[in-house]
Parts: sequence; structure tokens; C-alpha cells
Amino acid sequence: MLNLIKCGIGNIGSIKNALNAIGVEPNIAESQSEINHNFKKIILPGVGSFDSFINSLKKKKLFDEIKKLVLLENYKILGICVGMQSFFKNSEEGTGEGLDILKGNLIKFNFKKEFKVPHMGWNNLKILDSKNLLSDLPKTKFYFAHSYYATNVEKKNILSETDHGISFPTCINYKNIYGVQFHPEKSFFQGQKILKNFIDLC
Amino acid sequence: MLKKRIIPTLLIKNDELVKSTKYKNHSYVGDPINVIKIFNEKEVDEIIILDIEKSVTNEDLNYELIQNLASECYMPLTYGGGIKSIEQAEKLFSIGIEKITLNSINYKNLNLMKEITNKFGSQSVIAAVDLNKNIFNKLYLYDWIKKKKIKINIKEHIQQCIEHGAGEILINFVFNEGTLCGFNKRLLDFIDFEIPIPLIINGGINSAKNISECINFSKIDAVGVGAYFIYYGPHKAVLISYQNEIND
Repeated sequence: MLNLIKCGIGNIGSIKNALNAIGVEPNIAESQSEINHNFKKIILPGVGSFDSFINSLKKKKLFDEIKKLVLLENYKILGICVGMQSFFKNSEEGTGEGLDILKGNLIKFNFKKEFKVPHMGWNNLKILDSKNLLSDLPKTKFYFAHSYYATNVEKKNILSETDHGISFPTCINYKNIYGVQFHPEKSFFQGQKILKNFIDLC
Repeated sequence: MLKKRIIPTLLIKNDELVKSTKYKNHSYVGDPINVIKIFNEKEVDEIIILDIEKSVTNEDLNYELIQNLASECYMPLTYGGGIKSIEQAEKLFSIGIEKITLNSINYKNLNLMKEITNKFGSQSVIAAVDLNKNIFNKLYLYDWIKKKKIKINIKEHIQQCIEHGAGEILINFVFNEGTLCGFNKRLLDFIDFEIPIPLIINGGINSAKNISECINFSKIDAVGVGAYFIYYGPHKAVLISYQNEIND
């Protein structure tokens, strides 16, 4: 089982639905004290802007707690969308500092006409390494909704990339840290498979 | 490559699924939860649900129904109808709604869009506009509650919505809605300005060929489909269908 972090501006409803669909009832933690330490796994979903997400983690005393659990106590963490983006130190979107547990930073899609922003809808993963989160996927088409993307991520930590004007990392893994830019909870069975793969990690 | 989306667009009135023609003559289609379940099984790209009563009656939203609908959707679900505050938006996002549409409120208080997108991100709000046409085929912004023309320039209004943070634009062609008369891409000739965010068109789609014409048109990013996915045959028997393989 696992802890699902709710920090006010994450879409908890759909993640809970997707977890229920694969037979998992998460422990929903809205503050530091609500994390259940019998489960050494955390899902960190996020929508909204980088700064408002980070601020709301801080307000609920989850910022330092998550950092500690991940870096010192080896909890496995899965960041979804802005949840994943919060792993990095900086984003063009804001002035605040993220969790800084992963090397890289975030920049905005910057195009003229052809490619629209937000990058919104179903797009394919180009799988570079089909291990852990990406093992045995029934399909590789996932739902995206974002305007910023990760860059300067170390190549060995990138499991998949996606094209939208440029090619950018969409599934990353470094040690006990896992992140997806797309929304597995809104991507049918292939998305549920990713959640299941995270749950099955030992 | 990003797939262009084909989006069943469903109307709710009195907690029932209905279908109208040109925003009038609502007829009963079925139980919304059953219909959503069927669309979920067909793995549709996304669903838009519009409650066409809530803006008119000023009642609060039926969160229980919306939550039940969301729990049947393993794809993005958009809700629109009667949203007037950031608190309502927040509640919708917490029960499993991915995006909301704002329409009538944009003429009175565009700051709501700014407020919601500042907190929840641009991807969370679709600005919807209803267009009707006069006898000279000239398009105008339409107030479907008061059933009259809104005297604001279409381009200016859309640009204002974008400036206030909208993540997508949904254009409903009222005179086409439910008519199954086909969507003619020339209806978008008025767009002689750049829309940097995704554009969804809705109204009149009547065949797989028609969908394919629309999604192959550069101005269009997504196609809303109502009657064509709900009805079958000349007598409009209710039969839920979907087409997804067009540009896969």
C-alpha cells in the first residue's frame, strides 16, 4: 500500500479512482502527521503552477518531510505532472525552489503556431528503457496536460521521451525517485499499469 | 505526435442526459452514468459534460452526480455549467474533474478565469463561446440563456479569454448543434488571428469523414461530437458509438 499526498491543488479524485480500479486503497495524507510509515511509498500528484504547488507543500509541512523520507529513509516516490516537476530545483514558471532531489530543470514550450501550448491530449512515449514503471505496457499512448517540461536530466535517468516540437523526458527514474509528466490516472489501462508497476516495486 | 482529440460532448438537464437541436427541444437520451460507462469502455479521448440547466436556475452543482460520473472515467473529464466561484472549481477538481469550462460568466467576470488558472494552471480551464449566425451568415456571440446576441467582437472576446489564462477554446456553433448537417470548416474563416492554445470545435458533425476532415484541418485541435455518437439511423434511435482510429 502507499501514501497519496493531497496538497490542495492536486487532482486526488481521479488518482484515487484509478488506484481503486486496481484494487488499491491509498492512505490519503494531507499533512506531515498523516503519512502512514507502514507504507514506504508515496505518490505525489500535482496540478497548477510550480510555485503554488511548492508553497502548498511547505504550508502543510510536507516539503521537508518528503525530502527527508526520500533522501534519508529511501521511501519510493512517484511524482505525477507538477508532482514530478517539483523534484527539480528550478522552474521558469516560478521563483521558488523545488525539492531539488533530481538533477535537471524546467522550461516552457516556446513555439510559433504549429505546436500549441499547453501540450494537451494523447501522445506517445518513445521508450528508451522498458524497465520498472514502463514494463509490460499494453499501449504507449498517454494523456498529457502541461506547458513546462524537464530538461538537463541525465540521460541514464530517462526511461521515455515524447515529441511535441522537441523531444523531452516523460518518464524518469533515479534510484528511489520516479516521475511521469503525463497523467497515468487518466490514461486507461496503460496508465493503471504504470501505477501497478510502481506499487509492485520492491 | 500529439493526437488530435475526438470528444463526445454530452448535455445534462435535471440529472439526465439529453440532446438538443440548436440549443432547443431537449429530448431524453438516457442515464448519464450508463452512457459514460459505455464511452469509457470505448476508450474515448476525453469527455465534455455540460449541465445546461445550472446557469439558468442558479442552483448549486450536483457534486454527487459529477463525482459518480468521474469515477467511471479513466480518461480526462471536463465539466461545465453554472460555475461561478473558485471554490466550486476547487471542489470539482478534488472529486475527479480534470478541466472545467467557463462560458456565460466570462462576460461578467473574466477575473474568475484568471483566479482559477493562477491557482490550478491554464490546462484546467476551457473558455467556451457560443456562436450563432444571422440571415447573412455572419457569426456573432450568442447568449443562450437570454437567447440574444452579445454585442462584443468575437475575436476580442477570445483574445481576452486567452489573456486571462484559458488553456483551451471551445467554440460551439449553436445553429449547427444537434442538426447532423455536417461541420463545414469554412465556418472558421473568421479566425484570421492566432489562437496559440488548443481549439475545440463543436456542432454539426455527422460522419466519420466529417470528423476526419475537421481533424486534418490545421486550425482545429479537437472535435466535439454530440448527436453523431448518440443517435443511429433516420429515426434517431439512441445508440452510443465512437470512432477513434481515424488518425491513429
